[in-house]
Amino acid sequence: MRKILQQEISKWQIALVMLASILGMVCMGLPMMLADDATQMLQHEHRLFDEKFLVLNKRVTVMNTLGVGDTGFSRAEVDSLRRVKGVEKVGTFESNAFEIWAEANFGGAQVLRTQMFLEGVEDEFIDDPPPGWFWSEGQEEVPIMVPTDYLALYNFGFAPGQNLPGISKDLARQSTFTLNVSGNGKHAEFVGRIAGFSDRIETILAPKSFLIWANAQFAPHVDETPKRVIVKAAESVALQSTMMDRGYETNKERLQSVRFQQLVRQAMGSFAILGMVLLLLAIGSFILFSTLLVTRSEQRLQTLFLLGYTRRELALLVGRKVLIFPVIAFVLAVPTALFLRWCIVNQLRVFIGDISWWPGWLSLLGMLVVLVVFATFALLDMWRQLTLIQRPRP
Amino acid sequence: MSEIIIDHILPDFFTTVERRESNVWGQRLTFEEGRFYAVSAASGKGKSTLLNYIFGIRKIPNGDVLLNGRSVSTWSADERSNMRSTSLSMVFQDLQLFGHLSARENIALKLARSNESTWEEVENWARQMEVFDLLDRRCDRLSLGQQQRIAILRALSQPFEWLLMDEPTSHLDEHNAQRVMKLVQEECKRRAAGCIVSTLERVPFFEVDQTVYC
Repeated sequence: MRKILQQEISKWQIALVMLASILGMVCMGLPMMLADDATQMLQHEHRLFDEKFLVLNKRVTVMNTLGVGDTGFSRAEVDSLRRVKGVEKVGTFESNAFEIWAEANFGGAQVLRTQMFLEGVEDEFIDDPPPGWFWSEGQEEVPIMVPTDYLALYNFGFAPGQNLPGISKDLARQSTFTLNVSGNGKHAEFVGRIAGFSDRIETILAPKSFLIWANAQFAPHVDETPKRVIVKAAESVALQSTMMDRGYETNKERLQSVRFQQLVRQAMGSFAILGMVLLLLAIGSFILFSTLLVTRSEQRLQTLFLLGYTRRELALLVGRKVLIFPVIAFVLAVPTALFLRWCIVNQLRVFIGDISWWPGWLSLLGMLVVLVVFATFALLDMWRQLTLIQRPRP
Repeated sequence: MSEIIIDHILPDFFTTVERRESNVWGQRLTFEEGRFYAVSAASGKGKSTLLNYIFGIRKIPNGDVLLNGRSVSTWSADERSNMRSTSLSMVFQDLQLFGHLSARENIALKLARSNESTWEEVENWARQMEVFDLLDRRCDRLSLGQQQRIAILRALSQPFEWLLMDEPTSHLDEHNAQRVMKLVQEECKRRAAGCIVSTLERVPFFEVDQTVYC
């Protein structure tokens, strides 16, 4: 049976169709792999790229230094922010208005004593609140979150110079220290525990309930105007210019990172679109190839119908002939895309750090989907043609 | 399958005068089970068309062809294929052989689909038709007469209740034609199958139960 359809398609035609198919699959698969890499890198290693949140503060000027003017946000200003288009929620930071000293002891000796500050914000603005992130009156332990960058500053900036060992996140979480709080003629002691690390908010955070209670207890004069606010927006980059027009400062660096992320995504997206166009052309050429094979074999297929062969039997015969090419194209395209990705990742390794040598399964699945699309189009077209051929003629 | 009924078919190309002379077109004609028929007419009178209607190759414009009481027009694609594999066999006027395959491979396309005949039987028939030595030769290297005999061998190798033959001996000399038709008649009789043979001759050289004129 296989000999019947031999010699119908030239080697050049097969080679061209294969080339188009491989090119299409690679051009679509490669950006999918790279976009997957970029997303993984940005999500897991640099959680700076959180585009939904914007931390705002008023610009500190010489006048503020001289004690003229206020850098706090009034209630009216906060309400006004809530009404800005694109703003979903606004949270206010509660700062300590009393004195806090942190002390750490080891083996009976004091190894650390430093004055510090705390800020609190509503839990919904905190990235992944850690377990035990709450405080209620009477609770001795106060959970604290510090920016991931602070730990990096300690490990790579401070510790080597002081001949101190580096501290991992897990070790930091296990350590406790004493918080000495005083003001308004009162004094209290709490146990501070690092509960987690924040990539979104660059401050030392404590539960807002603790700061509200402590300010009421220890602050002689409670300042009701928050110095910083955090805004949750549908799209923070567009909102940035609006906020700058209002004279507010934003966490620009993060937004630049967001822009970089968007640029990467756009570049990958453009490449993927180009790949899809090529892929569509490849699918087109593939369908033409399938049509050509059936058309050139029409007389032979008609004879087989006259001999009593069914559409199913002939679909299997032609299908094997047609489908072998996208399968071969897939088998060749996957290692080609993997090799090209390896070359690109290897070049960028210096800039982007470690990335897995193996791409995400989604991109491979995407290429497999492409193969299935190829096969489905080809089979449907082949079945349609076989139906036309086997009909009695007028 | 008991009988084939041609029920008042009138192809577009037929004129009223021709219709009066035909006992096929525009008439109700019954081909009875197990009988041997010749369909005789000059060229262009619709002999092949009649066989094509029965075999389901062409759409029937009006009237009907009934096989075992059922219209061939109502066959689904799979039913048509099934009939061509089990009940209807045909020797086509243009033979429908694959030129790039050997005679044996062409026959195998039919033989492999049923247990009706064995290679031993086919080779025996080939000897009787004097084409045994040609079985392994490509069909496009054979003469038209040799190809005709291979096409007949292929038609005989499948099960059938009716054998349709469209001018099967047009390229054979009288000696070979008689030898071939004798074998066909024996095989049809053995299987209790009917046969319809189209021919240009007014009086066929082979023995028939009835001759109808297109």
